[in-house]
Amino acid sequence: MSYYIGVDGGSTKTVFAVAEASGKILKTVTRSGCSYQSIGIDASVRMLSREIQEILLAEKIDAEDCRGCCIGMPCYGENLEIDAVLLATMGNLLTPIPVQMVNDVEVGWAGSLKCREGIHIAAGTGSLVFGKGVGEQRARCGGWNEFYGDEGSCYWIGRKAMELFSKEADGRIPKGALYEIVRRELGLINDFSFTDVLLESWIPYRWKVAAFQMYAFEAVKEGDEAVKILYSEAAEELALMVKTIRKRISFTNELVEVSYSGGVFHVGELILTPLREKIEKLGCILQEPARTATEGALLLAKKYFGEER
Amino acid sequence: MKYYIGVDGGGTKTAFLLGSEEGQRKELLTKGCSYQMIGVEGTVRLLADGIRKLLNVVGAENSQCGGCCMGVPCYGENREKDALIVDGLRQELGEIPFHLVNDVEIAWAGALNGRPGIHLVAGTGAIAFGVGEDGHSARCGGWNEFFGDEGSCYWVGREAMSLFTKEADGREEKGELYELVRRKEGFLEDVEFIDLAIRELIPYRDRVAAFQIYASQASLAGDMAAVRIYERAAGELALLAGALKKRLLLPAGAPVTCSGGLFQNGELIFGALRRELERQDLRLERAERSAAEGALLLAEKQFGRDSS
Repeated sequence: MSYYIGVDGGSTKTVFAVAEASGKILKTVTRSGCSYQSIGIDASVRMLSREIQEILLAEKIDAEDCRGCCIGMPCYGENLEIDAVLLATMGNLLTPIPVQMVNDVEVGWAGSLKCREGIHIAAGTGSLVFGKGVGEQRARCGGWNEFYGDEGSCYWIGRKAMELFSKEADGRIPKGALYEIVRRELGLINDFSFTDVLLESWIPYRWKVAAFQMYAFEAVKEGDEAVKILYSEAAEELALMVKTIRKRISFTNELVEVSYSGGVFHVGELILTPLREKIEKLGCILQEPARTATEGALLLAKKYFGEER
Repeated sequence: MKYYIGVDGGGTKTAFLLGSEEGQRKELLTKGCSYQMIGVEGTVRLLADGIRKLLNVVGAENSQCGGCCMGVPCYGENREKDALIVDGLRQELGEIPFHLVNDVEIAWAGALNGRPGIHLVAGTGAIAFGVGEDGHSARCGGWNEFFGDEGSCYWVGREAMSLFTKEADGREEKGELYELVRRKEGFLEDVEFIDLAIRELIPYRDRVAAFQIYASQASLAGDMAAVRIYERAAGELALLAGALKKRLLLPAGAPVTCSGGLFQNGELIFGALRRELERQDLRLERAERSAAEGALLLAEKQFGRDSS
């Protein structure tokens, strides 16, 4: 029997899966985020190797029978020195299992489009768009950093939702459902305490800023029109990344497939409708993801390590 | 003879201005007095030292000080901290009467010479303060740089970082901003910007605000995407003023004045702001006096002979 390991690493959570060569998934586990930007390189690689070894142990799989492991890693490809350290360390820790590391957006693409040509939008805590064109053509757009970038991500929407709350509170825009929801959920006695609550328990945590997006979603469901516009602005930012990749690399077909993954899409049609509208104008077609990013990592593991051995 | 003191407290500097009933003026500059940076005790000590020093310089006794008005950053935003500062100053200053207000209030008092209207501050942060014809006052904006301070140097700085990355990865046409940032920050690969920003820029509020200068220079060199950042900033600032106009029931054509580092950009920001304010039926005016003079004006009003 031979096996493959696929890892969909994120900054908020990491999903591990082990599958048989046939593709049958034996086990999937979800753990905390593995982004080295958040927890450091050392903690990141140790956590990844520990979890992989635990799954193998639990499934009674001998490392010798693992043909390979593919890890989708946040920020991979943004710093060549760190990339080299990550790959070498993971290789050592997992010996004898061969390891391949890619950016997490790439496992998203491999899953959603089953490794076909096209464009994948990853919009979770952060955002990044990846395109795979004719032959070996590849391109990335967006990402960079949540402070000034990651446009259209949960973090970006979360921060803008904070801004909208303050605007509803001080009368710059009409008070809507967001105002009531945030006051209630954060237990605010007065509007001014909003800043203190945020500085203490939200802003220092990247995942919590992203989670604030949920209040925006709730507010839209209760009819807050100003907040609804936020999702269409997010779709605009994501479509701009798709447009850029469409221009930068060439594709075989006129109509380019675009798929997606990440927490932003949990709001469903609220983001999908404006996104579909915008990318159709770019000669693209929005496809529901065929597989998960974790399955994408398994597909890539098989692609990298399958035939040669 | 009585002396009055006005204090313009800021994040980076504090200006103390003493005025006598006979029109004598004396000024003293020290570092910033924001308690968010130097702590409540630091704020209290800096303010009390400055006041004592000024009185010393003119050879005045404490009893000759009619009163002080101090504009302090973040005052009015946290009741506990406010109380600590007031208690601390009362101990330090003894018999000297004093009155604390938010720094935006003294900027208004100076710029509009105490008249009804709105004052916009757009420096590192952004906030608006207005006074209605009935004397009621209100503030708008200025919550926090993370999600607020729309239209401030900090906000423009962060927007400029976003624009740099968009010009770098092709979402926007490469313009002057891209060239300027690469040249001035001296990196070879665009991705190096991430590390640079995380280590050298983002942790420092003043450096994010200073990044605004690249947007300004790029705008002047014809980068239209950078110019649009200032147009959006003007829109955000006018939104603050418009909200206050409504809340304070100010009449059409009410005056709006400005202060803060963003306005060193001259027409780049004023041009757009004038248009945006007109849309709100508000009129941009030149500031009459400095914030320190505004503080002195408020001190004389509060504690002077003609105070009620």
